[in-house]
Amino acid sequence: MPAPAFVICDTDALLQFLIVSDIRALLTLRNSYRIQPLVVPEVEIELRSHRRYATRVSQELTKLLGNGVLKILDKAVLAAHFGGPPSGPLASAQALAQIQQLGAQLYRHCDTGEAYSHAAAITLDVPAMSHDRSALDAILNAGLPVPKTVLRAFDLLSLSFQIGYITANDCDQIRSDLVKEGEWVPKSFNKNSFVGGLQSFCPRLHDLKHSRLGGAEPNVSAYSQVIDL
Amino acid sequence: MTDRRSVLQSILETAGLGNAAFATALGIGQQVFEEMLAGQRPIPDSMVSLISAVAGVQESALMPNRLHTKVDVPAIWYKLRAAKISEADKEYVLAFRQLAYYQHELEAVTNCKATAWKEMFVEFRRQIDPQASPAEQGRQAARLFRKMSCLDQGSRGVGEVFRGYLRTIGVLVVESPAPDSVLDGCSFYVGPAGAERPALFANAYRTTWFRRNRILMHELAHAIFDVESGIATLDLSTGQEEGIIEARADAFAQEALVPKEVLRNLGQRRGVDWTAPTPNAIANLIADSHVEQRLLAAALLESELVNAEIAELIEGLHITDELKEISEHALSTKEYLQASGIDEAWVTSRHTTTAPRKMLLSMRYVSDVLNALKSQYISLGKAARMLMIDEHDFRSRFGPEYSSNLD
Repeated sequence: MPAPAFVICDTDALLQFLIVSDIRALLTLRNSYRIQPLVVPEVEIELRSHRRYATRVSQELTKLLGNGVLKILDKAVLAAHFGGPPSGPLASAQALAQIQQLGAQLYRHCDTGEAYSHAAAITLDVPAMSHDRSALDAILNAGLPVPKTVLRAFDLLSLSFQIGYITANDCDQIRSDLVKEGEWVPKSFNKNSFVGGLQSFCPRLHDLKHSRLGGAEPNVSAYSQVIDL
Repeated sequence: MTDRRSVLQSILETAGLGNAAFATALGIGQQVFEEMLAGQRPIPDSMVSLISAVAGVQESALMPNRLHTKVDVPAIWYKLRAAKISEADKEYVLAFRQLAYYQHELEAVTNCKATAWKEMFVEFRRQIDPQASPAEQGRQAARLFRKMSCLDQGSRGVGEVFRGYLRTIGVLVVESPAPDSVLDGCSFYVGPAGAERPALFANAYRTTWFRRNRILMHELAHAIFDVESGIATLDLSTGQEEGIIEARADAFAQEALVPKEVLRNLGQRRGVDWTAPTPNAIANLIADSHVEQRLLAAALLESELVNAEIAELIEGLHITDELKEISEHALSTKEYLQASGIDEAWVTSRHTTTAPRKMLLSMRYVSDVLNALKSQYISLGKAARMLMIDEHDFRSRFGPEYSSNLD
């Protein structure tokens, strides 16, 4: 898969960066690869309505949206992506309509944020970042499409570590903060340090200019395509 | 021209509902909801079906670019305002509507749509004598109900089976403690436009299972006869409602639960001497018939199995302790859990936490949602939403069995 223009972030994965107040992994995407992290409006609503974390993360979220590190997927973002008039606005409107249509189909099986995030990722042919395997299982079980790549927050962390943007110590701090919060981290990082966990983690984002990290994906799934940048 | 915002504002004003409760019913934060109402953020298309079901408006009224001269507020909200019930009661109604929406979604995704109630209700109304007295109409409908549902077989109490039957035909049955509610029970239509279903509610706060059997049957009668024209029926715990529709609903409940042949059969089986029934005999009759003491006395009198004097005696007997000895239904939840050794989680895992008011969901609904998740029809997030709890609660209640992360 070539470098995508966007990564569509779902609530559970994005929340992890907001909880630990460290958004450098999102900056890596934007500054080093011109990949814009996006959220669908439904995810923004979910984050601001989150029973456990809304108060804690709302301010940081406003800041991220204000400085453009994160953007809400809307007509303007897509029009800029598809180019100027007349084709840009047309393609943008068409893509948004498709996202709505597919999102409504996926919503039968998933919660709102995950449904519309996956719908956007599929429609725009870009990766999604989401942690809920049960949503992907339900979508596949229903014979519906899934994004070719579904990233985990740790894919962004490992990429940031690979290119030297975040140190191993900082990555480990994020890992241990998430574990303390009772947040999910990939199995390999649960009881290992960040560097230790990387040995058996299979990153889905690689920078080709740096030496490869982690192992190979043991179980290739419909949504585990690796992206080489 | 109206928009989603003004539709919501009209409903909130008409019903006297608070923003916080409505936001909760939509699964969003109050601040986000208020920003929507203030026009500071759009209401996404993805919320339209839920708003439609919770508010009771047609989806088309929430679609953009529709020309409307005024907002049509659904009749239920006028009815609730006129009934002068409390804020808490309105919030319970919102919570039932939210539950009905998820029940509809669950049935759609598992292809188990239950709509048999529609035909049955039409049949009941068609077959009863329109010129008969209200009480006779109630009894006629109850006989039909027992026959069509096969609850008349065996001549015994139906309290343990009729809820399951009602749920099977698509009726939403909610039996939950509502301590701050003035309602004993109520019934009205819920669900998305075009997929409405009757909802029956029995307040489980300080009421026995035996009493709730009567309340639910009473509300079923309202759902059959009155809800279509009367929008909703509300039975308050503060007073005895009177009038034609109440007489019909009372007669329905009695005949559906304890018709004469059942009483006679139970009496024969227990060898009850109707001229001098002992407290133990009455306790056994209550345990077997699944109705409260008062209804049993009234039914025995009406069936001419006892005279007025004996009926009064039966009604005044102190049999609580005897009843607890012979029927687990007479135990409080705490007593039941202690006696049966069942973990408290059996109850607490069915409580909602993201509804406008805390509700106790039926075991069947919870199990249907969990099965849909296990069968990969729905995601964990969706399952949590359907159970009206958040994902954190879901994981702590139902454990690692449902771990769903991307390893």
